[in-house]
Amino acid sequence: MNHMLRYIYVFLLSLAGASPLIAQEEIKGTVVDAVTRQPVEGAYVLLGVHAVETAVDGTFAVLADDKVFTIEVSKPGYHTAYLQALKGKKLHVSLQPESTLLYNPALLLPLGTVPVERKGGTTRTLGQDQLLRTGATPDQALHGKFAALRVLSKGGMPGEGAFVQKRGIRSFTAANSPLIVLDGMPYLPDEGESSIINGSSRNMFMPINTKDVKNISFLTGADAASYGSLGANGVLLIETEQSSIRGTSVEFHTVDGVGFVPRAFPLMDRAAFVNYISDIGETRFSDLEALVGQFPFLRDDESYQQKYRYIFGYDTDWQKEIYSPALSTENVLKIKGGDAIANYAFSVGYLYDRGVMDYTNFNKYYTKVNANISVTERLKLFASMNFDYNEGRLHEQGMKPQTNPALAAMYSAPVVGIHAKTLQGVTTGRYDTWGVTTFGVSNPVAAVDDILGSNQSQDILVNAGLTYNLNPRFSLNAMVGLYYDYLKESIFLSGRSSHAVAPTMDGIAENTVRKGVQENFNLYFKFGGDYSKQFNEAHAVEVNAGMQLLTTRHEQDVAQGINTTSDFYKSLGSTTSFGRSLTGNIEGWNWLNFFARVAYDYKDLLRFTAGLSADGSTSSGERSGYFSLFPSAQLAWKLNHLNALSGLTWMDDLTLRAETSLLGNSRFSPKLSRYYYSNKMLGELTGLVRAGLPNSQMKSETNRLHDIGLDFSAWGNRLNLSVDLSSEVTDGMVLPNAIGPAYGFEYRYENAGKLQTDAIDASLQFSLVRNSDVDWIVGGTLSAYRTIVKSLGDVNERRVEFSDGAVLLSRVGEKPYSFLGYRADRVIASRGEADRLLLSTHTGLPFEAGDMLFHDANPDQVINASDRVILGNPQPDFYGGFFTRVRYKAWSLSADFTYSHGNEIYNVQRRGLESMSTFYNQARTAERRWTYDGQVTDVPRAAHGDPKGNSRFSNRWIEDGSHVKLKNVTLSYHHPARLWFFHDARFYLTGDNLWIATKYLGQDPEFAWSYDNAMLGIDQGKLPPTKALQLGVQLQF
Amino acid sequence: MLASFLLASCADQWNDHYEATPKEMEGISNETLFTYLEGEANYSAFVALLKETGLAEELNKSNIYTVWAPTNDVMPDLSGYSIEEKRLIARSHVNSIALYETKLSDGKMIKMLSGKNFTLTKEGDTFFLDAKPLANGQVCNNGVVYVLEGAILPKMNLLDYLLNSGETYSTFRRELFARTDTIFDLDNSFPLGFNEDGNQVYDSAFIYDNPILNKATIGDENRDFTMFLPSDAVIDAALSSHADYLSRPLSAYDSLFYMDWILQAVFFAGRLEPGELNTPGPNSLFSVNSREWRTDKQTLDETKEETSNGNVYKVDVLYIPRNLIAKSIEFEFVKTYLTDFTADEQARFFTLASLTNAWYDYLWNGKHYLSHNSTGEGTGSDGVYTGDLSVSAILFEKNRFGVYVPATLSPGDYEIWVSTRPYQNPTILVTLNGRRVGELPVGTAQTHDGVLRTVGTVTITPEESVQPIVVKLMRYKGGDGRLIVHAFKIQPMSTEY
Repeated sequence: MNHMLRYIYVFLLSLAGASPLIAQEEIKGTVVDAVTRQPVEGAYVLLGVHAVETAVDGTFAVLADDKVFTIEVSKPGYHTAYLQALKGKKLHVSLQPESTLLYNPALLLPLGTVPVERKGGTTRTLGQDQLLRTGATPDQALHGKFAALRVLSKGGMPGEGAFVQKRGIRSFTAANSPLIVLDGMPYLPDEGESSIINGSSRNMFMPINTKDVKNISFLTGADAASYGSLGANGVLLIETEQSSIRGTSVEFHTVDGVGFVPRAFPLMDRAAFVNYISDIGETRFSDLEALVGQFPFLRDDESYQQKYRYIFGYDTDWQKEIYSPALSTENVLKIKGGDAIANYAFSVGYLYDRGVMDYTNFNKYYTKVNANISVTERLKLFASMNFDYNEGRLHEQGMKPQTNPALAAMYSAPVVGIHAKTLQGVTTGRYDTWGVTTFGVSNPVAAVDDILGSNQSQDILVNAGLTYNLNPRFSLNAMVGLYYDYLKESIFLSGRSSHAVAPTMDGIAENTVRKGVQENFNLYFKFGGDYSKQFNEAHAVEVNAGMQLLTTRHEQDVAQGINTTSDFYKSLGSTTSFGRSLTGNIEGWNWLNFFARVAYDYKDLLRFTAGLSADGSTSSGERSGYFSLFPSAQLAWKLNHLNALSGLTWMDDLTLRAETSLLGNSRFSPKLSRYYYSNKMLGELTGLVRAGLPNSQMKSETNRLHDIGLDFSAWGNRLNLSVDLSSEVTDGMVLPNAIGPAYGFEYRYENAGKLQTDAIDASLQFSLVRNSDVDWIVGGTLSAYRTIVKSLGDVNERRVEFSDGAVLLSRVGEKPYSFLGYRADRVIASRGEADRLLLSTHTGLPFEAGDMLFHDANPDQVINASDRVILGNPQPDFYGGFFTRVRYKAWSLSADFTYSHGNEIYNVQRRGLESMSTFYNQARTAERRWTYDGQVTDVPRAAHGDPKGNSRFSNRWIEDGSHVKLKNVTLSYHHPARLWFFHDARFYLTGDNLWIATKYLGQDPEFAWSYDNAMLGIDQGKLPPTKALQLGVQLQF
Repeated sequence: MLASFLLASCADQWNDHYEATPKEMEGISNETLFTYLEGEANYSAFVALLKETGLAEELNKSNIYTVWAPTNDVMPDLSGYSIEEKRLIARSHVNSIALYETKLSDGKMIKMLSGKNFTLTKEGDTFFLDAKPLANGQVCNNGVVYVLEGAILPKMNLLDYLLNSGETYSTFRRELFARTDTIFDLDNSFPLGFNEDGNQVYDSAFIYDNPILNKATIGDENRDFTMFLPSDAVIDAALSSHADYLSRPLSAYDSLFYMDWILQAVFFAGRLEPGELNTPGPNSLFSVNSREWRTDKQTLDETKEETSNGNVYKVDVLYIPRNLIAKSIEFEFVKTYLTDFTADEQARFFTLASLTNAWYDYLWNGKHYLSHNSTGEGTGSDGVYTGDLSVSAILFEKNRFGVYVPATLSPGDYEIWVSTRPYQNPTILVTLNGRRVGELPVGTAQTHDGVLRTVGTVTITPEESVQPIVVKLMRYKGGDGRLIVHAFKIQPMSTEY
């Protein structure tokens, strides 16, 4: 390997074509405007102590310096350019106007912000105008923006945020989400699923507000190396706005909008439902009189009683009853100010987001302060404080028709009404209960109204630090930060008094109280030093080293009780002693990291970086040696600086990159590697019991990444293209390993698995038209990847089995978490055909006409578990985003699309609507169910209880989730000059999720149940991302 | 262009999938049942019937039906039928609930809109409804149509039969329905609002409560009964024959009483076949109202008439059982009880030899009984004491106003029971209306056991039946002794009908 690198180095040096060095020479060059290609007059060219201005023709000649070798070219209205002062070479400087749309001159890296020309790895940095103008937290603004980052809105419940993950799967046990670093401070937010409110999970980005963000970088591989075993999932570096101006600026930003009611499933209306109940009812009640007794609306003759006419006399479209268009508003006030000594940026805001589902909302109060103080020339202090308080009212999601109003609205019988009628025929304020008693489904309006789910949370993120410059080359820095997050959640599932909400726990719990609190505390220290030296015009070295410490403590307490005296009493104390439960856990996790990085730069042509991290965490076992080493190396070859290509002045950048890195993932529970204690009840006594079977040799997973990349920019950054080919191997993946029964435990976790992800990530941006009046830019990202299981320890496959029969299969040689199920070919149309097939279920029931014909993989004429095949995988083949932005004078219109291709979705919701095994209302599909011999249809017959398993987990419910979605469209008007008493004003109209093209038959193929990787692609009834229109006004005073 | 293509494909996919009936859905008609039937020329006669009887509109409603449609060639000529009858016929070809082909099963009972039940049977691969073969189910959007090879002409049920039984049976019908109470049904009445007095006004529903028909629910198609129907003449004959037997004209109260019995006695559960009716010898049938019908006393015409929910037989001779008015009288000779009467009444009640000195109060078991001591042998013929030591009483009973009146018995055979405590084993002779009934057996353990012992039987003649009853107990045979009379009972013979 070392030989190899040496050869490459020699080869590259020979290509660079070293030229003779002459002392005290002048360095000459031309400065042009990157957009117009016209010479720039009066640009300020600075090289050490020498400074000149460019002439009318843009030329300059500046004396070379013997200590400083970087030329800085600047002019108001342009981004400053930095380049190496290479003697004897005519320099071409192209200055990028600040008005260039979608151009970010900064590259945000762990060691700070550097000019984008110094890009050496995969990292891209997006500035604020490159983010989507959607969502309060930055995750939502990243849809389709970084090629390697997969972003999916978790759903439409207000305040939920987005699932954000580096594409591919890297671990089955440890966290898969990227590390978030806010203004230099990494924090580990709660990624768990709520155990109080079903289907709810928090937003990891809650402490951050999009409107405060200045730059966001997504780091992978060697660029993330300094985070060691926290870096394998990528790192999202977020930098918030600092004050960069002298004097005070005040900005007010308000966004007000309306969210629209989601697309409703086409469900059966009254007539079709009555037909369906008559059909399926006969499979439940063989006696027609009993059937009519249960469902009196089936009969419409003289014996039909008047009271049933008003109980069952409706044709209610329940999906219309629980949603309404929802208003949202966000108002932010930002104040920036200060002077050369101290400056600050302060923002305070309020967000109110009413959910489209009735009685849901989200309130956020937040504030942020950034302060920078230059104590002396050498000592700089900074401090930043984020605080937010959130209050939400939520509803349960998921496949629970008792408590999820959206599902209740789908399953509820159209024949019953919302409110009960008195004997006087007058509609009362009480909710109708016949839906519960006759069909077993909660009254959706009662559910949405009476079920009270709420949460309150607060996040505090504070960090402060200093930088001390010993001399121009050597500086020290230190930082301390804390993150504290408190969450209180509660839900009251009513029903005991109203009887309009169906009981849970198999009918035992007529009402339920659940409450919980959760605390999360992180403390972070960092100490480091940076050293840089440029030896001469050709050789420069930069060294960074330091240590980091992160300690965390997480505590959760959850209490549940059932059956309070009446729905009026909603406290835990009113619940019965039966059914009361209390659970909780406390877990600490700490991480200590030492890192060092050396970068060597040759003539702005070659840049080599090597890094080494050593870190250990609480997850490591006692006998693992604690510390793991994570080396990395990165080489960037800027071909455009080759002499041979230097004449191509239209080319801004052509860089070939190659890197290799070993990172780790230690973000899994310390319970796997060490004993912990839990309390056990024995009669009235409780005692602490040592729990778990630890693996004392447990160490962090490792993640080796090889990446070859190309960056190309031309015509004054009109064209930007990046392509990366990468291969990534997770080794020592933590897996539960089955052990002998003598241990008393089923599993012990071991570093046993291996996954490989091969990917191509590309991003492109091209300005089709660019002049002073018109800009038209198109661009996009693409990530094509494939994760394959390479090893699962001693076994060949692992399964995650769900209670509804769904199985996620991870098999060596296949993609992880593939759907394993039956293959349904068609509906058996006739008796003759059924007699020929002679298939039966595993219990021996024959498949008859009207049943599904399942593929008999092992032809034994019995459809059983061994006939299951792989039906698809939730990971896409490729995904990304594309956009277009058109500016005409002060107006601009942008459209941002996201897309995904080849990801399969298990549509649990549609399965519930087409199973035809209960008295729940079903999708209109059920109207073409098989009803007579010889009928050719794609929907089997309705049968109560589904004895043949026609609705079993099969490819009937696995769908193609490929889609193209208009994630955001924005029309804006920018008034840069004074308007009344404003310095600057921007008005915009923006729309979210307005259009989608997909073959998917659920409400929206974009969803995520939680941050859990395994649950991706299982659509079990999350509220779809809200379609919304918003009007924004941004004013500067 | 790509976008518009995608847009189109997306909308198509969603609509194609969720559209209820795709364009090519072989074998299913998207029409309503009636529209479908109307379009099939072969059902024109049946369609005309549906239109005439108003069922056409119902079949276009959103409710779900199965239509068992007879084709024109099997449709009978209904021109002679009334509109009600036609309505019944039409509604007997349609039932609520769609019975798709897969839901047909042997023995399934189907209730038509008319309320009539018909049974599906299966022979080989063919189903029969009311013994008429079925074919060719056609699924429509609100149900299913079967071709029925034969029209269903529904039978009347027992109630209809009775209502249509004509003048010959008017007494029975009138008496039966006269016993109906109409009760306002609050639960099923639909409130309309309030009147000017502030009272609730309802679209009223009523419950018809008839003590006889509550058990004999002859309007219910789901239960089978047998009805013995007496004509006016038969009822008259039965009543006059009974008056003869009683040797007195029947009062209004009597007629009511006997009519009640007749109404209660003629409805039986299940379908009785002729062989079970006039069996020789004493054989009893018990009606749904728990009345005894003795097949040896009653005479029926064995011609069976079938209705949809039972059989009807005409009654030839109706016999009103004799034991209807025969009753037991049980009388306790308790002093406290006797004091309820005035002295005058006591004097009439008891004809005692020496009530003042010889009879005294005897306390036993918490009650004060009459007791009498005497000595010596009887001197009369048969050794009967003629003077002392006897008790003679007119039996009284409380009438329905709570007043004691002298008890009368209807004619017939009765058994006499007595409970006494004779001291030193005297024999007790019992007479009724001066006729000897019998003796209490000698030598039994004469203790205070309070047990009634049978003495003998007596026949009350029609003449006696209108007179008060006088019983007399005398010490008879035996030496000195004491007579303590506890109780006396006269009870009809159990074999009487």
